[in-house]
Amino acid sequence: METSALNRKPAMAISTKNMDGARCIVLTDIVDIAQAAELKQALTEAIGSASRVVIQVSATTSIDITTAQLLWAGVSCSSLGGVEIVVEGPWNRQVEESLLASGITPLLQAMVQSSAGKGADVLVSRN
Amino acid sequence: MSSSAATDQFRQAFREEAREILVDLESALLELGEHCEDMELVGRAFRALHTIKGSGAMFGFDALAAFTHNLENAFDEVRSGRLAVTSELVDLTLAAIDHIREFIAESPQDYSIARNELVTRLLAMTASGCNIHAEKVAPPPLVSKSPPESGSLRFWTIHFAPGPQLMRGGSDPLLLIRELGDLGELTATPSMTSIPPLAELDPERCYISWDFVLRSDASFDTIRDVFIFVEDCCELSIQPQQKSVEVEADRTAAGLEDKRAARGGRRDYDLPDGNSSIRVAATKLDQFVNLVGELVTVQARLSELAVRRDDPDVSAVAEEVDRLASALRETSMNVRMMPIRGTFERFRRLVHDLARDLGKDVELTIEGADTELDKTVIDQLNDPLMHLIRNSMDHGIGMPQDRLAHGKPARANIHLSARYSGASVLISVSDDGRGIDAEAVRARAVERGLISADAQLSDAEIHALLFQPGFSTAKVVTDISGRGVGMDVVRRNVDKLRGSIDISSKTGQGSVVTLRLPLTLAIIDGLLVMVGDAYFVLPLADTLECIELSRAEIDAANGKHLINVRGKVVPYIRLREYFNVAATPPDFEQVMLVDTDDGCCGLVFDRVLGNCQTMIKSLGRVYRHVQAVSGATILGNGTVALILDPHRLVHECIRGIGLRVRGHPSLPEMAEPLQEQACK
Repeated sequence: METSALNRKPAMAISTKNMDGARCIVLTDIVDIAQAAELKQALTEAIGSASRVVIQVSATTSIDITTAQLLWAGVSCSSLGGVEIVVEGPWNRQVEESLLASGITPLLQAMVQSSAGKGADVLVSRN
Repeated sequence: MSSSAATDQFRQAFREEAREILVDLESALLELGEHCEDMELVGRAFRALHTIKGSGAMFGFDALAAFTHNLENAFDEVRSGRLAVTSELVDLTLAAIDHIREFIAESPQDYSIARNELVTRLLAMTASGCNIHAEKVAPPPLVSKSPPESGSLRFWTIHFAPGPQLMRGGSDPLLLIRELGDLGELTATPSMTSIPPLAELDPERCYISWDFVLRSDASFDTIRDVFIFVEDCCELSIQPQQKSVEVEADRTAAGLEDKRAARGGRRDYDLPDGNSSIRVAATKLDQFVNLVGELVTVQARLSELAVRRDDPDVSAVAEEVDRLASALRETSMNVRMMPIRGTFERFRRLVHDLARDLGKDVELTIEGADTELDKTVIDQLNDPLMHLIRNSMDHGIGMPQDRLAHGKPARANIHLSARYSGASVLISVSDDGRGIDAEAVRARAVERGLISADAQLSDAEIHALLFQPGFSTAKVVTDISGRGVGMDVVRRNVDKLRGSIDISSKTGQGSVVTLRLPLTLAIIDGLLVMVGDAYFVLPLADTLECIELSRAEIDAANGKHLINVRGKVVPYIRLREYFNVAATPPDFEQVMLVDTDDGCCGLVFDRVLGNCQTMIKSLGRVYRHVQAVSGATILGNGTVALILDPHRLVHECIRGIGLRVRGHPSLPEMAEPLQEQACK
């Protein structure tokens, strides 16, 4: 039986590490409203402390709209502060389909490209 | 909070929400019984059932969800035009609502046999209804179940903007969009302009809105059903496009616009959402109001202290605290105020069921349903109103043929209304039935030894007999009324609420029972007055004006308690005499004119001390018989002031006179001779 996000115990879905001079945020399993506050904090800290931020999403099995808009806000924030940000996929198929259906993928991709520059690894979409 | 406690809280919230939905469902069904072709009502009923089923399953009410699924199916058939709305379907669904109420009760009973029987009848009706329609009319289904032909495809433009509470309710727009995509070919254009900077973003709120173009054979209802659980917490518009035009969303342009916005363009994320609301436990509200009441008492002490100290700084702080306490009091009172609509709407079902059982044709009309009262008052109104309506249905309203014989329409009317009157609300139950048979009431009272055979009683006194415990004029006791319990319950409940009851009736034309109830039972604006050393509070909303009463005027009236106010003679009650205050009166006493059910009357006291906010404290059970006092309050100097109820005080004085001297005139009648004298 599926459990409501609000009822579910927060999982360890968000972790951070330093990687090749960049601050890396790793998202795993389900990242939704139950982790939204944690993700916001991780993004804020990463953008405030590093010149390059990598968000790894390949181990994510499900996200909701709060995660998508946090990524959007993070990318917007980094571009204003001169921080390079990369969303590193590939996305899980189900997640990718959701983002595509909602029309968010192209916008997010455009925003990341704008933030990271043409030479950056932009992996918003699958591979 | 533990996981179990959180789950219990969600289940309780579901119960409360489901009960509200059931009231709306009942209303829709009863209206549907009158207008069986109204597809909007069918849709309303379907959505209510769908919501109860879906939410029920979400919160672990699996049996409820399974049971409601059958009803939902039936109404889906109605929506699709394969099943007609019949009185049997309406009655069956109403009976099912009772079972749903039992499912969500805190201690549900096992009615599985009755439920199974009901479901069997429902399934049989659905099957037979569908067959009949298939053979006879076969109207075009609103939703095609077969693969769509290219010609039946339409374009729909949909705007969807989630409100702040949508995510917290457990919904995710991404899932809704996927579901919408399952209906056809979907093009989504999100608007990110409302997403605030990361630092300001509330992570649990959705700021994105969407414009969709959907190419689908789905009906309006099917599309709307995608959003059924979030309708109340989002902006939603669904518009069909008449021409089959290909619309290509310009995502690049939208993206550029969003990027511009993200870099400092105009944002509208901080616009307030005026429609959002939260559900709060009544106990928390009670606690909140009690604390505000204590604050008001402390504030009164502070004001008193400021006056005594005569320190400008303390006075300034006291005034500021006074202003804030006043605003807080008003806000806390408003929070407790609820429209009476929910209570009124519940009686549609009662009237429907009783009319069917009694073989009468009765419609219930409602007026002033948005009138707001304190939640405590509303909670205690259900029983009195139920008894009044049952009495009207059983005794007041005749059979259709009798009504026709008396030149009345066969269909009777019961009218429920609510309106404000000063610090009170007047709630009336009226009917166009036979009216109260005063002779029958009188004869029964004589038979029971309540009055002597030669007693001369006014209409009001005869009507008052109806509230005697066990009093009934009914010759036969039915399961609806006749035991003489109902009106006694009405009187007791209204007494508990410090309200009053007025009955007026005309033989052959009908009756009106009016309940006057206080707007709130917690805190009031009052006028603090003194008699000797005793303090009293008059509710400000009942006061009209204050005038002086000199010793000479008292002497000139020859012992009559009457005063001339700009040519009009007004009776007055001296609180000194009523409460046996022994102190010597001043040369000039004060008369506060109050507006009561029995007319304008003066209350005489020594002096006015000023306005005060007052938290009403009960006097306790010992003094519950004291009608003229609605409670007490503690003043800033620590003394206790009695809060007067002018309506009851005046009424009790009139009644006291009436009991001693049969046929004594009412206050306006008492004033009449001197009124004429004053005019001369």
